[in-house]
Amino acid sequence: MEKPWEIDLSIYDDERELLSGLRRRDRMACTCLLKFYAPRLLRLAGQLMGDPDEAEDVLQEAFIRACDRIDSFRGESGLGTWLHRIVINTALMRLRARRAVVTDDIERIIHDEADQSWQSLSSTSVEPSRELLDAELLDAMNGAVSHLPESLRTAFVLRDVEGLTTREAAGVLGISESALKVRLHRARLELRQKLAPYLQESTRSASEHERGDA
Amino acid sequence: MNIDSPYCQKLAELIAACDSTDPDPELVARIDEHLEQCKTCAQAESALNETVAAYRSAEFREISAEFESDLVNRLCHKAPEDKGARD
Ligand SMILES: [Zn+2]
Repeated sequence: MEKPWEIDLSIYDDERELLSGLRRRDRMACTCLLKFYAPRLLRLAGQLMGDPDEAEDVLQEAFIRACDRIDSFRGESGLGTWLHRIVINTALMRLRARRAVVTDDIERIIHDEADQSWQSLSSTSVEPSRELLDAELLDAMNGAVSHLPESLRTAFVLRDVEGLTTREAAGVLGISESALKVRLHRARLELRQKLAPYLQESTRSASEHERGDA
Repeated sequence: MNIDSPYCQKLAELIAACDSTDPDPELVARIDEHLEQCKTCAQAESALNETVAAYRSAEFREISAEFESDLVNRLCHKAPEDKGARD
């Protein structure tokens, strides 16, 4: 699709400059914000919601909320971390709304950047890939995660994918640490079972490859 | 690393015995203990961790240009003043 404006991402490399641009509602700053953070946050929203369409809604709502509150953002947690938290809470609110449970967490999170219960969450928590998962296994993993029951999926995504500690993830979900652990074990066991055919295939291919190289 | 390493039946039974809303902490501790001691499960944990790590670091899909453009318009729209909106 044709872009009506030129993109020079380097203009807003500096987070303070970016924040200042966002406070002015500068179009380029808003574009850079999305370029920098939207792909990663869209994946996170998709993992939590288990549905790509709902993930876009979550992302949109989260960015709008963030920009509406940008004047009150003090920069204590880093913009990426703050956005991660807003996306997680927006997604969880939607999931809870499905169950007709009302929560005002999002307001608390937006206004409480320094909340100590989120220390492990980092916008840069994604490590470089050591080994790329082959496409088929990645597809299977995506499918398996999205088909986990919501209570297991959120535990798995927050703890294993986002890297929150057991205490943090339990706090975000409003459950005990023991419950979080059980849900995580269930999720991992279920994923392992769902991935079994792909894992067997991958292992067989790897062995054949090794034998071929020898 | 053989990534096709299943958990043992004993672990599945321990997990199945736990309530996922209000589990008995003693049962949860037994799961932890089992995972520390069982070689089969340790191998399964390690293999699954490797798969999850790769899943975590898989490349992000770019958002669509249309979605981006719509959202940028919405984000710019609420400008307290029009300053910078046409940059
Ligand atoms: Zn075992």
